[in-house]
Amino acid sequence: MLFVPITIGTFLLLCRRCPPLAVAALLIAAPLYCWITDLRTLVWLSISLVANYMLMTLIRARPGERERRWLTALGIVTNLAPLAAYKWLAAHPDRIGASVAVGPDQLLVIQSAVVPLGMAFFTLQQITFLIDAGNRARQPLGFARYAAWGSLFAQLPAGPIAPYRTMAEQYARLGCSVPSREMVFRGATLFLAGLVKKAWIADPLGNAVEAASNAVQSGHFQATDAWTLSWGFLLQLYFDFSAYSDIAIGLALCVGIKLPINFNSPLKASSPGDYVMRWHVSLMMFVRFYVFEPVFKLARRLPVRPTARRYAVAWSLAMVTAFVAVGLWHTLALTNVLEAVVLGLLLVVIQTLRLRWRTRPRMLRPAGKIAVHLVTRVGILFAAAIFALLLRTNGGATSMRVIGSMLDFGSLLRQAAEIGFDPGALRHATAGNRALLVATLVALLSPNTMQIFGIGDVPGCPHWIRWRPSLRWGFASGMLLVAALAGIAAPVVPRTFIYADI
Amino acid sequence: MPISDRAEWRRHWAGLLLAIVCILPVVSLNYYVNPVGLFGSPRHRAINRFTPLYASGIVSEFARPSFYDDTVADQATDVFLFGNSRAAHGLDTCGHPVARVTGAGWGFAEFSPLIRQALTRRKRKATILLELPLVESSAFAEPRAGLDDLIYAALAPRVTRASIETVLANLPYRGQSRTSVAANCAADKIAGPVAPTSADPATERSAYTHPDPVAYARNLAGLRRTVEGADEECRRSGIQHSIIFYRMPPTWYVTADMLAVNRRSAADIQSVITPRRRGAACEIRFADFVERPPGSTADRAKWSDPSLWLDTSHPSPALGKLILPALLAGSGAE
Repeated sequence: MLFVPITIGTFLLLCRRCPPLAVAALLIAAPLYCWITDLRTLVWLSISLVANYMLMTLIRARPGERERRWLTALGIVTNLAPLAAYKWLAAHPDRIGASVAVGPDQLLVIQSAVVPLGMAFFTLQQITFLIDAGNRARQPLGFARYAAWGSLFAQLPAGPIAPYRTMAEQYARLGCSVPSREMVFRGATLFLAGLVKKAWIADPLGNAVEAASNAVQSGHFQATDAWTLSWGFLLQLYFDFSAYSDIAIGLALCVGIKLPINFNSPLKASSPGDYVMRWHVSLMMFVRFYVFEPVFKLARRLPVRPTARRYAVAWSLAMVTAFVAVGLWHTLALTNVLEAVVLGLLLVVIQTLRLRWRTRPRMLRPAGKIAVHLVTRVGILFAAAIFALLLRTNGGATSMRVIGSMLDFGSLLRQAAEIGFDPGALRHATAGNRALLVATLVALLSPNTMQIFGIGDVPGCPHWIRWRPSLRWGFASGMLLVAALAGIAAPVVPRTFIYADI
Repeated sequence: MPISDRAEWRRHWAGLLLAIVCILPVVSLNYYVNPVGLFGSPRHRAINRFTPLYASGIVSEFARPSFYDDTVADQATDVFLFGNSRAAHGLDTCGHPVARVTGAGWGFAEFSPLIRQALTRRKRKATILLELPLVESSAFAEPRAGLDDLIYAALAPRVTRASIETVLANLPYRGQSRTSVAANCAADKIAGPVAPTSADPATERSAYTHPDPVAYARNLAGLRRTVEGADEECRRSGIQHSIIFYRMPPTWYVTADMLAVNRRSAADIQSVITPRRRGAACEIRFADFVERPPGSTADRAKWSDPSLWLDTSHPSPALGKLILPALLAGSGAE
């Protein structure tokens, strides 16, 4: 509870009194944070920072382009090797003599135990460093500022992944001047909003999902349990990770750093591709720039004619490769990787159909267009819930039973009729069920925190809601502080951030 | 800084101050009523001497049995049911002359002082019913109110609701002595959902089949201490209080291994209790329903029906009502 205010306070004080030491405050905070959370991270992060910086110096010293490329490729493989090894062990717990029987929804638990905290994220950041800093036209950061970029405590557990090319300029100025009061307050309020989101929405959702999961495991469950497990887990994932992202982005703002955004209301997406690009935006940007584009550039050299088809083939190959990369990054469990391949192929098929549809004359009337839009959106949400379910249950027979129960609309209606539309039902609902209702409304209807706090230039938020120094936001900040304090002090075992387990 | 900016920031600070001013009455109310006993022991003013159902659920979460010291000592009834979440969610004492005090995960570290407190101020013979927490490792020392707890007790909406309910519940009792038997009987029905147990049947089974030997030994020692403490109270007061330790029939996950473990532990329990029965000051008994559930054949069959369990270890009140009459009949309370 005290680590964050002490670190930020020290940094701001040093910015004012002794700017050269401000970066050092952040450099000291990172190992302290690792000391508290996971010592293995400290070891791997230190090795990664020193080795990659040395390799970059070597790459930049080489005169030949070809040689530099080989060294960069070698660096990328070397960075990925320990992560892959850890992920492989996590996907095969029997190989490490895990004595605890692994249940179908225990994959993330095992991953968090095996893979050092944040390794999947700082590894990707280091890869961006190797690729971007190799450009000899640009002056690289000195080691201290580079290390501050690679180890910012706010983003260590689970990103957002901040590519070197977009962040280097900010880190070159880090600590040279005191961050503006507006930036610090905006960041602090966003940080509090993230804590509130985690404690009051994501964690109660987790309880509801866990109860539904227990019912499913016992074999005695109803359609509502099935929906709570799938839709509830999707919302839990969204609110948990977006809460974490708010906290990370808010803390970074407090030290004058603007991190990339991670979420842009994915549940409001209008197409499957749109959904993908709104969920874990920083990862998708990484995949776009460092996987999709290189593969696309390579694949468009394939001997396919005519040109339009060649580009379509190249695009499809790049798309599937990108999704395989995303799947592998999450876990090396075969089921999940296959899911990623299927998802990639599905997006290729959908995009192809959409292109064909666009070339045809518009036949639909306005009512038809609205119907198509609604069906698409409901379809996206349903597919996302199924995908979340597969992640939670790790596929298999359990997921099939749950999906079967979800589609048993007769049973669902019967249960709804039993409950009735009694307003008292909400009063007697558990905190988890109330959180499920609130989370659904917020995710589908309200502007997101990035829009409210004016981060990442995400449009679509009414002006009167946007954060700015005012009486209303001052009051809201105070209330957020109270809610955050009450939330984190609650007498419950705190739930870790789900993506930190990845 | 432009003047308009300065004005905006002034308003921002004013808003922040306003929020603090708004929250101060809430903090004061929670501190003064102290519905869950985190700001020291409740002082039992006219507004908080009786703990309503909602607040007692929160007290259980903080595992603070000392909160009940005065409640236990002042009870009008002479029969007490102490237990953990299994008793809390499974045994409905409404309609029975029983005062129930329960806490999730409580063990002998909590029960032992509660039993002594219940016996200390009794002028008549008291009966204590206690489910043995021998297989599940649970005992933990009473935690102190840390900074987190104090912040929660001052600010949490649930605690504020508990404060308001405490004040409202105490208004009708102004000038009366506390008789919380009727009010506490169904307290734990609203104590929140049962904490989820392991989703993995294999893990769950292994927890029952291979109890942690350290926890098992600690619990046996706790049982011995509890028995000795109760004897001391009986000797001091000269009243032969009755203490009935009991075990419910096993969870529907039961396997032959688990039954074997239960059989072995029954012998251990008897070895602790039996010598006391011969020369002890209290009347101490062990009602073991593990292998012989009470009631008719149809009643016994109910224990293996998963739908009558709240989860893998918590029986529903439908099963609890098979046990409670048997216990009360044994105690002579009904």
